[in-house]
Amino acid sequence: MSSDSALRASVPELRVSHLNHRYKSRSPLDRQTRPLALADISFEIARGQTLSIIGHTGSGKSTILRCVIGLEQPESGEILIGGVDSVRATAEERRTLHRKVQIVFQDSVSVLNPRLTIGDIIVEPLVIQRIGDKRSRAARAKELLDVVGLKASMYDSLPHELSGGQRQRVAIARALSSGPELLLFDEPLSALDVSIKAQLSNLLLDLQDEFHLTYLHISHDLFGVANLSDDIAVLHQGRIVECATRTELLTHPEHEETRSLLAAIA
Amino acid sequence: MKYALHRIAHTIGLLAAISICSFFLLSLAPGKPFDEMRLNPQTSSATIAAERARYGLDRPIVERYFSWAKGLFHGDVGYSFSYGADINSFLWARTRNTLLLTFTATVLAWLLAIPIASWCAISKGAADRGVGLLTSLVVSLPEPFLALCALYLAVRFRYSSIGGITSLDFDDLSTLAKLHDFLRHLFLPALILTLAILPILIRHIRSAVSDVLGSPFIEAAKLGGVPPMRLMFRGVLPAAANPVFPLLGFSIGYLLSVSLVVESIMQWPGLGPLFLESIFSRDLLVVLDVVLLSALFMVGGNLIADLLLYWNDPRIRVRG
Amino acid sequence: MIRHSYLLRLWLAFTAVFYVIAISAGVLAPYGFSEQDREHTNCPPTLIHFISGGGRLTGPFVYEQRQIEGELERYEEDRTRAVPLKFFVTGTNYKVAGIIPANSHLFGVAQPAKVYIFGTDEYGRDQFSRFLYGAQVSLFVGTLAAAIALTLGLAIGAIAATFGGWIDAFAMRFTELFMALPWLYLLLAVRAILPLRTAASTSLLIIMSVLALVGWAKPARLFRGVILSVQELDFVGAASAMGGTRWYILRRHVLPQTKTVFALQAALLIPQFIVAEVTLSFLGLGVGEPIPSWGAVLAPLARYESIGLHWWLVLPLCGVVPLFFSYHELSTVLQAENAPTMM
Repeated sequence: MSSDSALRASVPELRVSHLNHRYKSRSPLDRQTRPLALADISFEIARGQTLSIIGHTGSGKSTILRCVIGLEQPESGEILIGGVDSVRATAEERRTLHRKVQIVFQDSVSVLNPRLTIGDIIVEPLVIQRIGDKRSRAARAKELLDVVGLKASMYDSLPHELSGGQRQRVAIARALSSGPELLLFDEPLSALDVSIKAQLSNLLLDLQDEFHLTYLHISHDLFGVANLSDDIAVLHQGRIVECATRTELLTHPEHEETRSLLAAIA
Repeated sequence: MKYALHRIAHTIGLLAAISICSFFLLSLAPGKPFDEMRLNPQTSSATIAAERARYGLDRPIVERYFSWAKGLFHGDVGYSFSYGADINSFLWARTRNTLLLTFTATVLAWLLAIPIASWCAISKGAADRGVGLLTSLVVSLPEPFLALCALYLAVRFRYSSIGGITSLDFDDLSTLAKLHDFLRHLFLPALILTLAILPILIRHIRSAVSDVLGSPFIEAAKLGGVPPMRLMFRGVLPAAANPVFPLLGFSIGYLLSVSLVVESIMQWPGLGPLFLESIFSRDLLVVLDVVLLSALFMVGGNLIADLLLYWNDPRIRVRG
Repeated sequence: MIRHSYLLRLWLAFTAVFYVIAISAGVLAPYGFSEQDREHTNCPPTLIHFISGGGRLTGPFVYEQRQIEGELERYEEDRTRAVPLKFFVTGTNYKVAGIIPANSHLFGVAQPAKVYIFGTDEYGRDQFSRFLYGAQVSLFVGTLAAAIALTLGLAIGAIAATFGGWIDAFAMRFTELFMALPWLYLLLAVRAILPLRTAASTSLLIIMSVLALVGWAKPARLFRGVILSVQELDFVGAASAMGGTRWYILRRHVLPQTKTVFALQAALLIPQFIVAEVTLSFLGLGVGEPIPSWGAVLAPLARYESIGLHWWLVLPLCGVVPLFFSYHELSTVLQAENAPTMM
């Protein structure tokens, strides 16, 4: 591991320590024998940096995101966001965390409520957080549309009228609306065309610079996130088997799993 | 096998729960059996109390439930106040009659529905639409009135065996003639019940068969030159059977409800008229017994349908 | 899609017509629902003629029906006098919505002639008027009871689906109890628990309660299933990730998705509830006299021997069947709309 020591000294935006989690099972009887989804996961991301966690399907990537965003309670471990433990947070702290951390899912047909307009969708975090009033929210929505490169006229459109790439831009705009510091991405680019992928990658990089955001990606596609990442961690069957900077990982992969992932795209 | 045992245990539990709920709820009903007596000023309250004690009506309710439940296992289903006799003496004949009627109608309906529905699904033309329209019309006719229309026609065309289960001179007939007489009386109610459920069956079976016909493996078989009849029986029908088994369970419940009204109108001596009479006369033990019996048939019918479904396609994992 | 919404509006309008007719029963019915005419018991329908004795086309008129001398309940037309059918006449008093008194009727004839469009029953009550007033009761009770049952079912299904755990398990076991009996047996059993002979208005309340109490179980299970699958959708997970509470998600995202299912269930259930009320009244366990219900109007038919003699007692069916047909078509149209969103 050769992260810049200066960066390490400051409080990391996200620090996960010894995270353990098991898959839910149907019967409460075999609690002990449930398979481990995550085993002793630890990593850190400094402010303004990007970490990508790569792994095959079923390696537990989504579970990490779900634990960080609070959709699941890990069995044990610590998740510190800006120094605040999200696992044991109070209601007040949790509210702040919801503002600070947002997630962008993989584009699918149902990631945006088909009955709501784009404008409504984008400001939803503000509505839930009770930030602002109708007018200020509308203004913010239009502002965000511009930021992600969409026309302000889309404010009144419905999701099915947009292309996949445009929908992801809306999802990103939604994630930005509450002014977050940490953004989680669940395979945001996988379902998109190559050219759109490139456009959105650039957008994400620009946004990161402009708003000083911290990113956590998960993906099975190493190539797709390579140029976005500062550090890359490889997840295999619930464990991090390798973690290094981008250049190091790509040029000198150590673990077998990393090599197989690289080979898949080589 | 584990699944079957699981389902059977579940069914028994359900029936037990129903017996408890029904018993307690019905005991809350106003109009205790000796209220009529009480209205007569000449009957002293001591007599009434004695009568109630004789039938054990003054014991606490939990005790009454258990003694009744225990009696059930010994085949003693209680005493009827309005008939003045053990319920046993008339309940089983009535049950048999209802079962005969419902069973006949079920068999008839399914025997008719499968070919008609399959034919509709295959031919898909004007005939299909015609049948569709016809079924819509029949469905719109609430069952009692279906019965009445059929009756009207029967009266009009002077069909001789309307109402009841036997003719007046039944006992004088030879065995063969008895059977014939019985069948003549069975015909009209069974026909009405069959007509009541036929549209629903046809509609569901048709859509199930239609779905299967469009599926790739049937297309492949057709191209492969499998003769149509064989394809129908070996391929289409078993595959279409899956969504159709629950329909069997449903049809039993539905027919039981319809038969109640039809039996009442046509004076078929089944559980329906008995149920109604006992409600009016506040003979609540009879009400209770009939409720349990109907639950038994309903739940039992659904159980059989579920087990058949499971047997037909063990891939089915039914969520509990 | 255009054809679909056209059909939807067509059948909605057609169904609405019945409700309008029911509400206007006071105006449309020439007579009150409990008016007894002892001189015209079991009287066949009054024929409305348009051709006068001289063979000319005139406005509608009727002949007075008189009992044939010496024959009980056999009638003949008195052709000596043509009594014209007048419109907007004053007649028996009635109350609009039970409050505002009025006595104007759409049509009628001068006494002593009568216009019994559907004939009379054994008490000499005009079947047509009873049919119209009966529509008020049957439609009102059935629709309201269905609305209550549906809402209750949605609420309970939503709670069961959202909270899960033992609340869900308990609710499901509870609904199973209701679904373990054939519906009519269940209905009658519940009815049996309640008093049989009560005041008319109480019996209305009783019937409505019984129907709603018995009918919420199946919709509850259904809505629970729908909501469970809606909860699997990604945008619901996203809203949860954004910090939305369960109530917020239910209100904003989940319930709107149930709109189409709710509409379809309404179209399927309302006629079933109306049939249930009619069946109850037909069997004598429904709304008590003197309030008429369609079931009570059709009750004389239970003695089917009378069908041969008094064929006109079947006529109210001509009004009842189109309503159910209309609801059936409505549900077919709504089912087509539901299909693409079915998961």
